[in-house]
Amino acid sequence: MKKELFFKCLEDTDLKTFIDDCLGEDAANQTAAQMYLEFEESALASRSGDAEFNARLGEIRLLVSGVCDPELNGYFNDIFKKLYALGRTLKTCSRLRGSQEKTLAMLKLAKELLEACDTIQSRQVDRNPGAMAAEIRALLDFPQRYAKELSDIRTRISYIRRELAALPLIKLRFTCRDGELTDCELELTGKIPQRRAGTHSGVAELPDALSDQLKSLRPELFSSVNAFCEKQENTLLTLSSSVSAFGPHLEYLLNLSKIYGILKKNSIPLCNPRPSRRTTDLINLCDISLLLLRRNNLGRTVVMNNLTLHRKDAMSLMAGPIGSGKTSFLKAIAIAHIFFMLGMPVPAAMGSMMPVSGIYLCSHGYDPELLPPDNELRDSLLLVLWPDSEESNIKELNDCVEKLSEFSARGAHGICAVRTFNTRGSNDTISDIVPENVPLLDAITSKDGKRTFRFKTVHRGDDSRATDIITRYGLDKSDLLLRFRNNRKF
Amino acid sequence: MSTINLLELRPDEHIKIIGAEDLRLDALPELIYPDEKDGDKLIYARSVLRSPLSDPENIVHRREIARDFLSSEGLLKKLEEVSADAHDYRKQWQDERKQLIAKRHQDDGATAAAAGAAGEPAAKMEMIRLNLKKFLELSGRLKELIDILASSTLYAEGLLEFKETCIRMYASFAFSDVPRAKKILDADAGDYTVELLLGLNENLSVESVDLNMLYTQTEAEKASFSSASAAPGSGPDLSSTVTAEEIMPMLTYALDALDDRTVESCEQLLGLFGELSSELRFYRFCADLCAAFGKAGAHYMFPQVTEAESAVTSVLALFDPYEVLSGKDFGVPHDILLTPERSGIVVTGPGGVGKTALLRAVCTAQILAQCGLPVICKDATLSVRSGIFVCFTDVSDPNRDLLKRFESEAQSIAKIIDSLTPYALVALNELFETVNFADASDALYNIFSVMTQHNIAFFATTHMPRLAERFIEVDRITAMSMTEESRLETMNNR
Repeated sequence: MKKELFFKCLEDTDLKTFIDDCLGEDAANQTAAQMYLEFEESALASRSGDAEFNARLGEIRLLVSGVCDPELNGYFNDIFKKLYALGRTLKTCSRLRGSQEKTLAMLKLAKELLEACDTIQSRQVDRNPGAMAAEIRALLDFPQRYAKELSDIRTRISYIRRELAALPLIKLRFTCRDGELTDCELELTGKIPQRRAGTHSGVAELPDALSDQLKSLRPELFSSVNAFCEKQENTLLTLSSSVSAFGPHLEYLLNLSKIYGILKKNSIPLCNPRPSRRTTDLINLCDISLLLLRRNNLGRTVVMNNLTLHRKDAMSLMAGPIGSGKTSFLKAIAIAHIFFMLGMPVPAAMGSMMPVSGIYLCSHGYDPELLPPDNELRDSLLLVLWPDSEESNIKELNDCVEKLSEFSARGAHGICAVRTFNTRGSNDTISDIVPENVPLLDAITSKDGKRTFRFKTVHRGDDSRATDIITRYGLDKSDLLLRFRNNRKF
Repeated sequence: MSTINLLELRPDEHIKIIGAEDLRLDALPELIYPDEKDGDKLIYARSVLRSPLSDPENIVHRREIARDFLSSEGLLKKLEEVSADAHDYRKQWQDERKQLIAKRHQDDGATAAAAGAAGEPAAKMEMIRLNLKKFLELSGRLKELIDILASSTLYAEGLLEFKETCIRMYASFAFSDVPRAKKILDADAGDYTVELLLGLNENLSVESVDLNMLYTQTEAEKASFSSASAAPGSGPDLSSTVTAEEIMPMLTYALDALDDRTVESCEQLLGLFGELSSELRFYRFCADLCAAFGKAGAHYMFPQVTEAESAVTSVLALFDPYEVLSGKDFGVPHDILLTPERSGIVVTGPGGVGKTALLRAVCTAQILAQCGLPVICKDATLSVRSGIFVCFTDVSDPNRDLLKRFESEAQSIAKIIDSLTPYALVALNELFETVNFADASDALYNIFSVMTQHNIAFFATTHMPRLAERFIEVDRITAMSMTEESRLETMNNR
């Protein structure tokens, strides 16, 4: 899918506005660019086959759910801050002059780096093993890739520690008499001999001459620290590049978690639909495009719709009067697919979804310019809002149905929405006119004739509803087996 | 980190129970603790039943300790008494510390600045003395605990190890300082000379402090107490003599570090008592449960628990503990057998004969066994189940559209299937009975056969005999019928 078409889709669904709102424009642009890359990678995996796509989806879902987990979110933010600070220190480090200043900065840096890596590695497996796996995979990548350098730094640090352990002790003596401190003395002395458990020994007092020697140790020590720093500088600088590569990806995930947080705060149901090759079947798909434009839609509740798309049926037809919520539903479907491909939880109660290789939302009338060449439309989701015209009539509907079959032939699946047409001169209802092989969604009007913004699948033929339910919840034999196969625990 | 492990030998990933409300799990403890004053025990017992263990070794560990407590009269009670008021003790100690701090602030306000600066170390010394006093009291209690454990006959590894831990703790370095600490307490606090040793770390700030000697003016009494703790910055410039003002920051660090160390030692002991008292609650519940079973005249035993892979549930003469404890008729005992070759049971029978009660009894027995608690039966071998998933038919609204009811059941079962783990136990009560027979039996047949293929054990009930008949001679599934007299019979093609 072309980058500009993906961005157009983000804009047409108002998702871009929403991300701008949540993250600010700069972060939103970065996130959108990363979204495109992730989307393309998922699409590529889906073209390679089921196993590849499932593995990819599992991977990115773990990452996203790990970062979105409220308990872990703080931890990831912490890591991000540490890496960010580390990157900054690394940059300033080369500008430092003067041996003592540089020494301390280097030690601080090495300590920070080790601390960041320790934080990443030290997390214990807790209540959420799934999220843990994500964490470990994503974050361990960093220390693992630089394991050699890190262990190098670690050995040198411990060497320095040993050197420093030779630093003399400071002895402080004072007397408290009538609440006043007197006879204060301060001197350098030797280390206390290692104590054995259960015993208690005094201080080994050193002769004055030795004490002077110890004082002279300090400059020597500093020169050795300096030597360490020079050796270490290059290694640390190569690490700065890795920090700058890993940081942005974590930042992207944290941005997704912010978006997730806002959906959660607005009580939008979220689920991770099962990947399926045959059907997209979502229960209570939330129309969050209304929420996205919440400034303009104050007081309007989020509408929920059920969505069923079959690969074998390819394109469906949606009909409804002006203002019945066709565009919003199409936007909701597009957003659900974007989220699904990015591994984000989808705003629906439950269901299954087909992976797509592109999402094309023609919300301002069907425009061939906005569609890719024939061969690229295969396995894409196509959402078209058929242009309104003065005399919506049966001829126009027939044109639309014809176009649908053309899109289906090109391998796309999706929905084409048309304004309810004028059936003057004919007693047939819409379901009589549209051929039976085209699934039909019709706007639901309430008993008092008001619009509900909801759509229902028009049942034509005599299929059993129970079987429908069993298929919807993935309880038929092939789906059951697939579920067990996708369950990582088996 | 936990210092005692009376409940878990090693960290356990507690198993998931879905549908615990349908099993009436919360109602069982109510029968043991009907009294309002036992509210805490009731809440604790419920939480125990909600989190069964997944590691057989942990279960055996609990069972052995429970046996020691059950056989050794009074041991549990004595340990409860020793560890009882750790929380209150900590609160009292903290109040005393607060009072000292408040007093110090008052003094600061009242006296001149110069005296105040010198008064600061004195106040801190006072705080350290208070900590030492508490420490002495608590270590006395630890000795008492060791004596109780030493005077009882113990077989359980867990209790023996706990005894060792206590002894090791008592003999550790911190505790050997007790006599010295006592001398500091006895010393006259008025005038004293202090020698502090400060160690520097690689950032050249104070890392360890040793309060090496503390003697009164007479130098007759000497005592020492050690400490190691991080304390920030001291200048790298050193000279041999300093004034009182210069020494003050270092002295403050040193005394703070000592205060932290003594607080830590007390907290360690209080933590031990707190943890003990919290873990003993389980054994109190276990003892109360056994007493209740005994009082009702039921025969109970700790089942044999095996690894999940053996996938066995074999219970002889099983009774529902809920029915036994609620004083009703005991009902008819049932033998249940699930093996890797026959991992599913479908039970049919007329309404009201006790199919649902049996389903509850099987699940409850599994949960009790995995909690390390006794089960009412003659003999039982149960393999650990990685999860218990219960789904009852949705009867919340009898007037609801039948198709809606079916849909809600399908939704629940779909959720269960997504959260299943290998070697889990699934219990389904009268599911899919609101749709036409062919659809229901096909759906159940698919679900059951896929589950048994994946090592999931299940126990299902239905009042539709035709549905159960469908499973006669189906691989890995036993179809049974329950008679009017509540007896279980295996169904076969007559």
